[in-house]
Amino acid sequence: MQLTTCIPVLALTAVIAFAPKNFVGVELRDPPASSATIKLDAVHSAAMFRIQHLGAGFFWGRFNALDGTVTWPLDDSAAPMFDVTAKVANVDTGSEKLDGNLQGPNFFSGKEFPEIRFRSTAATRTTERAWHLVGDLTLRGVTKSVEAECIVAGIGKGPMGKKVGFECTLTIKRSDFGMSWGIEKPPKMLGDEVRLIIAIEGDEVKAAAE
Amino acid sequence: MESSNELLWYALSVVAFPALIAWLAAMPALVGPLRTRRAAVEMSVAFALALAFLVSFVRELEVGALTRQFPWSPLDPSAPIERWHRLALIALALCVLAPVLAGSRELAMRGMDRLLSAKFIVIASLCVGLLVEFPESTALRQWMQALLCAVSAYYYSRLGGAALWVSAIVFASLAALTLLAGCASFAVMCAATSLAAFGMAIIAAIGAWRNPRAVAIVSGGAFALVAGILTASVAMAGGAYDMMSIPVWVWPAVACLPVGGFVFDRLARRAPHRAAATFWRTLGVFLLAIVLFVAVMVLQAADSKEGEGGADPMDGIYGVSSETIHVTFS
Repeated sequence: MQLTTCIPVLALTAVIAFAPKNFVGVELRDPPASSATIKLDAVHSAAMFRIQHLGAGFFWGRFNALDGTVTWPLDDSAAPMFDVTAKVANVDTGSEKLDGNLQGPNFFSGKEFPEIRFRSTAATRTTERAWHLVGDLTLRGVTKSVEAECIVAGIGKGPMGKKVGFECTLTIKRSDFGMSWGIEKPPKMLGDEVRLIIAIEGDEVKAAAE
Repeated sequence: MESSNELLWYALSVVAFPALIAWLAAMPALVGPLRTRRAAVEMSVAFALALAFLVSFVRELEVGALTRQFPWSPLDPSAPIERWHRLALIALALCVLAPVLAGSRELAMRGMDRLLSAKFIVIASLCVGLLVEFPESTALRQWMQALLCAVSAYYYSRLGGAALWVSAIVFASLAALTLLAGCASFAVMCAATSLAAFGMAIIAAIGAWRNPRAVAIVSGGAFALVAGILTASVAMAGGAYDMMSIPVWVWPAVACLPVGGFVFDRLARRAPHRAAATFWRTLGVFLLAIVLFVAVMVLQAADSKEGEGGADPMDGIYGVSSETIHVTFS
């Protein structure tokens, strides 16, 4: 009786003891030395955003040509660390007028705050090649901590070497960043909640531990 | 239905309410017993115009956007100080300066009041030029901002009784232009100021009709200071934040719209009575504003036509032109 009680406890201890490092629930703050630096490929990296329009449909727009780097060991032994920048001038909704409005002072205020930046600060593995990230998002000069779910989409081969893809999703409240136009004034023009999908593809530029 | 009501309330709150406040502030001097006192008319009208802009700013954003401008206010990391919020600071300063200038002119020796106005306008213009920086500012742009304030104030000062009607047209033009430029909040504040000026012009006309001893609207001094500085500052801010590629010359041009008051100068000078002179001066500004907008529309249309014929930005990405890629569905 006592043995049967002990078996599950021993088994669980063994699983935890022999589990790969950095598995579920382990927080990482600094990338290991074996990490590769992945430079974003601007043509294949974009951030899509979704916002509710007039309380009706979800409207999509995107920031083209993302810039920045991801530091990640390609064997997935540690969390990817992101430092990604989008230029407000690269917002693209399919309508030039709308792009101009979004770049204006009521929204992203591109003349005053030309860049949007996301830098991950911590990560927790959720499953294999999937991470829960915590990072700082700087938008309109305001930096706030945000959380994102991130997956490694794949590792492929390009003419210049290895290519790595990631996809991160997060939801923010734009009013947290001082972008309140259209929420209450004018009322219910646009939603407060913005869903972001950051699709990244980059080229490996350095593999430190090879 | 509910949503259209909310939108109406919003418009009333940010445009009609500030205008109403301005009318109430100017009322005693426009239709009341103070209408016979030159300084009171000058001060009230100028103060009310700046107040309309300021109240609209606070209604559109929040008081915090104004108080954050002061160095002693606590820093709120979730709300950045945006440079265009300085417009509210300018309006607040003008609310204070208007009574000071009007009072000083009243107390000044005969003939010295114009010199006093000129001093105030030059100093205020220099302050706006040197202290109020919008994005992408350069030294040349700052000097131009100061010059534009002074020029705009000068032309307002020469308009006489037409000053309120003209400022209504100029701020309406600024509202339309800033809306075109993608700056909806600027447009709202300019619309409130325009409505305030328009309402005050009507109230002033009623006051003059009711009281034979009523003095004319004083366009010089405090009014020129407020209208000129505010017009030029908003125009420069509009140009700085414009994301719709409105030609750069349009912004200083709209600040100089009061010059249109001299298009029919001869007719205005020969007018048999004050109302006729006001009509000719206002008509000149109105026509100039129309010409300006037609020019902007034509240039915008030409720009968009040019854009249609432009190269596909995706061309070359795959090593071949997108036109050479043919997909056949069977």
